[in-house]
Amino acid sequence: MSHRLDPEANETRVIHDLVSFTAKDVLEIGSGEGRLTWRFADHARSVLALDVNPTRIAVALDDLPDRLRSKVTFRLADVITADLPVAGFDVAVLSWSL
Amino acid sequence: MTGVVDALLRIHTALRPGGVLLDLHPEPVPPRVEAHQDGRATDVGLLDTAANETKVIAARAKLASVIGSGLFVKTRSTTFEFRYYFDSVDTWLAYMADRWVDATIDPDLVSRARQLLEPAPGELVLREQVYASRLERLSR
Repeated sequence: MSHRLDPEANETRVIHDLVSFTAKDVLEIGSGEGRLTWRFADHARSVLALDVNPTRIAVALDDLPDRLRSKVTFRLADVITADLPVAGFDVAVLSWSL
Repeated sequence: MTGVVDALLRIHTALRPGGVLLDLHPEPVPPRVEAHQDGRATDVGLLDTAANETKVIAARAKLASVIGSGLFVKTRSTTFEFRYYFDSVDTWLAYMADRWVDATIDPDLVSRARQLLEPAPGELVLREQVYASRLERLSR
């Protein structure tokens, strides 16, 4: 049993066309298993990725590549109640979470 | 997420002046299901996502109200296609049960997919339209 998501990379092309992630501090809301996170995290300075589903956060942590461990943090949290710094991010991503 | 407006207010506070919000969400239209075999696509039908479409429309109205209040300004937007490829009907159904709990899958759609895919190898493809927008943070 297998599946592939967006092998055409349409999503990757669009997000990088709309926003520059280069050297940015990014807040991602609804990161799930990190599918979208992996598409911009290499460019960012830091990523704080939030999701309310503990199973999906666990998968994201398992899949977190060594090269990104120093700058990507996954947190089990809702954006409304999470402890977030004021004016701490350059980019926020609402990842299929509106 | 318990409240779109509350979430957007929190995001506004968390962003630096001049910060950018990138919003991605499905268009409120039913995704198309196709069977792909030997380089040929055959239409299977439309997925019933009416419940989610209603949520998207309501969330968009709330986003529009936040934009109208002067917290953000939309500077760019586009729509793109996001495709899901499944190696079997059962893989598709398992994925839907886990991830698309709001979708209603018509048994006739499943039957048509099985009739097309089980005699010959191929993939079931779900074509979803996604809206992406760039919103810039404004200071109040």
